[in-house]
Amino acid sequence: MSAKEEEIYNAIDNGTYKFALQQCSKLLKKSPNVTFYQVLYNYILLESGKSSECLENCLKIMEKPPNDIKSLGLLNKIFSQLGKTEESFQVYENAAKKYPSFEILTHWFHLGCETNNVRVLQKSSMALKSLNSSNRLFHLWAAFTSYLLSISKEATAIEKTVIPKLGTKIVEALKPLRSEQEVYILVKLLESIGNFESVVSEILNFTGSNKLDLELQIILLKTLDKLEKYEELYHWSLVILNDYKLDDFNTWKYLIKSSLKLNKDVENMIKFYGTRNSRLALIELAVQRGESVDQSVYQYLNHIGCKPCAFFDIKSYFKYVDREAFKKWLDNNEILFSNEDRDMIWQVNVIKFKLLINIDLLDKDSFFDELIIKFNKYKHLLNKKEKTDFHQGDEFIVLVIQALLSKNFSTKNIIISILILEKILEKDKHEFHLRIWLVQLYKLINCHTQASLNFEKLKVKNIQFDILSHFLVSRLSSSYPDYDVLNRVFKIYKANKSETSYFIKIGFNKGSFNKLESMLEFHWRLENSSLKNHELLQYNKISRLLNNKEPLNEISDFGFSESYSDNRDFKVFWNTGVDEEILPLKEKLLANIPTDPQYDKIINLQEGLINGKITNIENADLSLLTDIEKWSFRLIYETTQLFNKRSSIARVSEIYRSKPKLELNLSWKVSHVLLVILDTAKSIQHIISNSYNKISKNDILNLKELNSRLIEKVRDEDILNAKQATVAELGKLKSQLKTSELLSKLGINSTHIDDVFDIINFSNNESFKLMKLL
Amino acid sequence: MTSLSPFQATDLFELNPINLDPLTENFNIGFYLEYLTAWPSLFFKSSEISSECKDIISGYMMGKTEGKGKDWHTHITAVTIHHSYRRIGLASYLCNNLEYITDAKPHETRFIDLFVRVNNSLALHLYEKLGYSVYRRVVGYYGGENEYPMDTKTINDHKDAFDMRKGMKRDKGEGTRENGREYRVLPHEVRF
Repeated sequence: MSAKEEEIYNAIDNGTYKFALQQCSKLLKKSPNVTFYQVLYNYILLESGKSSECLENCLKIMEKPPNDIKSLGLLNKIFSQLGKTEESFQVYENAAKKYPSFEILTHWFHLGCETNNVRVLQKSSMALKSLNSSNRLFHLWAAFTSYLLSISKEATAIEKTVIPKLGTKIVEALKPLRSEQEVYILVKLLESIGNFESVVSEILNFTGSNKLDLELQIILLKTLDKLEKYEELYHWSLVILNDYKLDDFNTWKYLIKSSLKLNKDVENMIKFYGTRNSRLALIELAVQRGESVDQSVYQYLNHIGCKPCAFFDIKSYFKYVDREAFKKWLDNNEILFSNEDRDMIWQVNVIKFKLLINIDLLDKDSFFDELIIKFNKYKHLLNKKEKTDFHQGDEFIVLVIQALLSKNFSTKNIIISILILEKILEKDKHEFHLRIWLVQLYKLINCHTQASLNFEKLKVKNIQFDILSHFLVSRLSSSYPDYDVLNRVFKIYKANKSETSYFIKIGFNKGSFNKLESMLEFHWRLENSSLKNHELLQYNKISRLLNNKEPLNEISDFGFSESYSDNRDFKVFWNTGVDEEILPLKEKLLANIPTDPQYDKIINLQEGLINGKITNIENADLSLLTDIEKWSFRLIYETTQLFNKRSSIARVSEIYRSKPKLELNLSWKVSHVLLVILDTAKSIQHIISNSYNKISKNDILNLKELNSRLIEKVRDEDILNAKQATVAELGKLKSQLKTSELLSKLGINSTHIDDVFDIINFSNNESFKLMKLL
Repeated sequence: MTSLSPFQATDLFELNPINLDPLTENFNIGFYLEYLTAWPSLFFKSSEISSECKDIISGYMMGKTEGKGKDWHTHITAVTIHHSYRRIGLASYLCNNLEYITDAKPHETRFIDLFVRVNNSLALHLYEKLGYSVYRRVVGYYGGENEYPMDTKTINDHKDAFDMRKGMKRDKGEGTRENGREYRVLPHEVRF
C-alpha cells in the first residue's frame, strides 16, 4: 500500500470522508485508468453513506472486470458490505474468465474457503485444473469440491446429478490412486451417484492385502449392508473383529445381522469374547432375533453393573426391557458387589434405573429420604478419592436437588440447593456438573458476580466459550452489563475467522479430504453461532447502558446472521441422574436463558428500530420475550411510529404508563426489569437524537419528560426498594434455614449457612451497585 | 457399546463432558485443526450409541508421527475419556489402535511415546500395563515458559514429565532404556 493510499484509508477510519475523496480524486486525475483508484473512490462513497451511487458505479466496473488482486478484493468487500452476495463472488468469476491467471484463481479459491461457498470452490478448482493440468492436486480439488457441491443444500438439480459424474471422471482418470484420501474422494462421489457396487470394489482393490483404513472400513461395512451382500459383510466383520482385534460395537451389529441372514451361529462366538461390547452384543442379538433381552441384560449387569457406563448402556436398550421384571430383579439384587467403591456405583445405577422406570419418584418423600441415606452412607469415599477423580456418590446429591426443586420451585429451595452444592464442592472442587448447576442457580437469584466466579472455576477455554457461555452471558445486558466477559467469549469467533479458514486451505493443500467437509461445517457453525448473535446484541445494549461505544469497534467485522447454528450445550446440564431433561423443571430452571434462538431475531428487530434501519415489523412474534421486554419492544416501536407520523404522543404515553410492575423478590427478574427499563429509556433518547423525521416541539418535550421520569424512578426509588426487599427476604430465609432438618441431615451447619448468605447478599448488592452507576 | 471412528472438526462441539475434566487440555482451534489436517488418520474417537440413537463421544485420541531415522516415532498428544466411561479399558483401546495403525504401512514407526506428569500415578500405571516404560525424565516440562529450568539438578513431581516409550517391532529395543526414571533431560532436548 502506498503512503497516499494509507492516508486515504486512515481518513476513512477517522470518518473524514471529504478529505479521503479529495485525495482519491487527485490520484484519479493523475492515473485515470488505474481501476483500483476507481474502486477505492467508490469504497469511500460507501463508507460515507452513499450506497446507491457506489453500487451503480461498482456494477459498471464489474462489466469490465479488473485483473489485479487489490481491486478484486476491494470490490468483493464493497459488494459484501452492500449485502450483494452474488455480485461479491461474481467479481472473481468474471475476472477468472477473462484473465485466468494462477494468482486470480487461487484468490478465488481461497475466497471459497473463507466463505464456505462450495460453488466457488468447485468452479475455481475446475479452473485451476484447466490452467495447470499437470498438477494432480488440482484434479483432486476439482473432484472433491464437485462432491461437496453435489451434496450441498443449495445445489441445483443439475449440480446434484451432473457434477458428481464429472467429479468421478476426473478422479478415475488419475488411476492408479495413490492414497486412502484419493480413494475416499472417489467413493464419496460414487456414493452420491448411487454406484454402491463400485464403492465396494474400489475400496477392496486399493486395500489389497493391507489393513483397511478406518474411514474406508466404515464405508465398506455400511455399503455392504446397504447392498445386502451378507456373505461379504459377515466376512469383513469377522476380519475386523478377529484379525484387526478391533472390538467395535458397530461391527458386532453387522456381524449379528449378517449371521442371522446367513443362518450362521454367532451366539457362541459372542460368548467366547467376554468383553463389555460382546456382552452388549448378546443383548443386540436378542433384539435382532425378536427375543426377550432380559436375561442378557441381567448377565451384563452382573459383570458391568459396578461401572458408571452400565446405566447408559442399558438405558439405550430400555425400550426392550420388561420393566416390572427388571424392577423385581433390582430389588433382589440390592447387594451385587462387595467392594465398597463398586457397591456405591451399583447403588447409584440402581437409583437411576428406578427413576428411569418411574420419574414420578422424584416427588415421593420415601425416595428423597433414600437418596439422603445413600449419600451419607458413601460420603466418606469422597475423602479417599484422587482430587481430580470423579465421585459417583455426587449423583445422589444432584438427584436430591432435582427432587427438591421438582416438589417446589421456590426461592427457599433454590437457596437450600446452593447451600448443598457449595458444601460438596468444597471437597470435590472439580465436579463440573455440580458447578454448572451452581452457576445457574446463582443466576436465578440475581447473583451474577457469584455465578461468574464459579464459571471461572470451570476453566472454560477456546471452543468451550461458544458451547457453554450461555449459562453466564445470556441476557447479560439485563443481569450485569459488563464488557469483560463478552470480550473474552467473543475471541473464539475472531479465532474462527482466521484459524479455521487458514486450516481449511492447509487441508486442501495437504489433501486431507476426509476432514474438510466437517471443517467447512465447523467454520460455518461458529461463523453463524446463535450465541454469537446473542452476544452481538448484548454488545449493543451494554454500549448504550454504559455510554461507551468503544468496544463496538472490536466487533465491527461481525454481523447478525439470519441463518444460525445453535451450538449451545444444554445436555451437559442434564448429564446426571437419568441423563435427560426433567421437563417441568427445565422451564423454571433455565427461565433467564432464551433457549429459542428466534428470541434474538426479535431483539435484532428491536435494535433495527432503534437505529432507524427498519420501520416496519409485520407480524413480530413477541411470545419469547419477558413481560418487560414486550413492553420495551412496544414502547420503542410506538416511539418510532410517532416519528414516522403513524402514532401519537397520547398512545406513546399510554404505553409508558402500562409498564409492568416490578416484583420485589429475590430473583434474576429484579435486575432484568430495572435494566430493561433503563435500556429502553436510553434507546428512546437515541431515537430522539438521531431521527431524521421531525415531530412537533411539544411532542418532543413530552417524550423527553416521560423518559426522564422513567429513569429517575428507577434510579431514585426502584433500585433502593429492590435492595431493601432483597435484604429483608434474605434475613427471613436465613433464620428459617438455620433450623432446616434437611440441611442438618446433610451435615450443613450454621457457619456454612452464614457464609453462603453473606455471599448471596454481597453478590446481589454488587448488581444494585452497578445499576446505580448507570 | 463402543465403536471407533475418525474424529471430525464438528466433534469439538460435543466435547464438554470430556474436556471439562480438570486434567484434559482444551487446545485452541488451530491446534486441533493442525492435527486433523496433518495426521488425519491418527485423530480418532470412541463413540457410544445413546438411547436417542445419537452418538455420544466417550473418548478421543490425538496422535502424530515425527522424527527422523532412529527417532521416527508415533507420539500420543492427548488421550482422554468421558468420566462415565472410565475403568472399562477405553484408554487402552484407543492407545492400542493408534499403535496398530502406526505399526503398519504407511507409517511404520519405530516406537510410540507420550509424556505424563510424574505424579499422575493412575496414568503411569495404565501405560506400564500397556507395555510402556520410562525412557527419561523431562525436568520442568509442565512448568510453563516462564519457569524454564536452568539445569536438571532440581526435580519437581508436579512440573516434571516422564517420557514413556514402547518399542514397535522394528525398534528392536533401541527406543527403550533401563533406569529411564534416573535419566534427566531439559524440555528443549525432547523436540523433534
